[in-house]
Amino acid sequence: MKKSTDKDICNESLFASFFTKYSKTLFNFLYYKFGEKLNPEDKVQEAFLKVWQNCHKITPDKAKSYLYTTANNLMLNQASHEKVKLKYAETPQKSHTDESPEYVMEENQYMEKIQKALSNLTEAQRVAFMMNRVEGKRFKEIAEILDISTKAVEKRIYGALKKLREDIEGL
Amino acid sequence: MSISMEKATLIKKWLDNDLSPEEQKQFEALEDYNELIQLSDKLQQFKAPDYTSDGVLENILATKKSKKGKLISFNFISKVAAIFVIGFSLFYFLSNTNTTVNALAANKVNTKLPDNSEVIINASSSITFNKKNWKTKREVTLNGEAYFKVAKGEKFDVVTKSGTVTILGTEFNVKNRGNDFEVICFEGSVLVTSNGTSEKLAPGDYFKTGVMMRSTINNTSPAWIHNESTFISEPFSKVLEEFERQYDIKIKTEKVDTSLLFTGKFIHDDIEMALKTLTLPFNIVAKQKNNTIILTGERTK
Repeated sequence: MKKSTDKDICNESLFASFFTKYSKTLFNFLYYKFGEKLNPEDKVQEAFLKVWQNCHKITPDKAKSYLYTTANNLMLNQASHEKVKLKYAETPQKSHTDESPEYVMEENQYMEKIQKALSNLTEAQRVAFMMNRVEGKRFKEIAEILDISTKAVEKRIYGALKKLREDIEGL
Repeated sequence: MSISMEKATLIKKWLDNDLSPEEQKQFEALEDYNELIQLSDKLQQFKAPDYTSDGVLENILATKKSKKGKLISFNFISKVAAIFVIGFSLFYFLSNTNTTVNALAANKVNTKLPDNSEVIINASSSITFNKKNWKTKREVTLNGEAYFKVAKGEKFDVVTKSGTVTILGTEFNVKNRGNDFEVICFEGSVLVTSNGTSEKLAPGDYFKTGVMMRSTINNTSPAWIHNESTFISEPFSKVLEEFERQYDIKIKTEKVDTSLLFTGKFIHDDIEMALKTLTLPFNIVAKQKNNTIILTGERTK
């Protein structure tokens, strides 16, 4: 029986740790990029399944990019041309509130503005920006996930923030 | 909105969570500070839903048969399980294809074999045959007594523990009670094999435990078919056994010589009358208690 630990990722424990390491990040990546309409959860499973089925062809150092490319392609195969509209959690309505109706309305309008502005970002900008702002990842981590330079990440995120603020102000 | 280089650097460092305490103060002093913090706060509400990976990995791993690790034992177990399932269902299937037709005491049953041959099964008897294999193995196992009316052109074996009857023709009676093995051919011809000897029976021939009697039967069918039991020089004990079967009753004898030979018949549908035909010739008194008839041979004393 040949040890395949180094050559490919057919080893179960190796694959399991690969899964644990990337499944959530991949899900977030797909979600921020394509929204929830195209079932990012299913695509994560499909992509990992493809990796597993082709495990003997995939070396551990190539596995991540194979996974992301596969997931991305799965998404693009059925991408709709609609703008991605990310959902936001409604601010819980309190039964007793000191806030004036005007404040609540302004608050809701503000959220809708952010939503619209986010969908106006490019996919690349939105993914990097949300990973940074919402998932709390630093530029370097994002650079690793997306396989781009830290400088490029900074450019995307800063560009996204700038565009977002302009949009919100203009809306 | 014009943002100075210095301000842009501060914001970028803030984004990357890379502000020194000093820079943090400068950042907080920015006119955009509140707006940025508010935006950043509100963005949290756009967080992706929690990804639940429960069971996903297991599903994926289960899709491929690996030659390594845990999957071996899983596959091995499933193979063993599959063999058991197949074996069991095969056993169930085969054992289930044996058809058994039973006639209880005091009952006669009319049935048909897969080739449409007619079989009348006498009381306390049963036949078993395999419907599935009928084409390759035309065999009926008989326990007791039955009358066969074989469909034209069909051949099969009637197997009893005392011998085998091969049907070459059409109508015959086979009786196998205890050690008695009795075959009467009524039409066509049958081949009887018992204790290593074979005898071919023509209509009217009567075979009884190794003894051939040619042309002794004039009937065209056994008497029991017509609800009668006939006996030619039979020990009285055998007659009583038949009586028990036909009326589903127990018979006890007191001071009766059951080795006496009986020639005659009794009917199956009137127990009073039947009992008389048995007891009168021997001067026997019959008393019935529940399900038992006690025969007392007073007068022969």
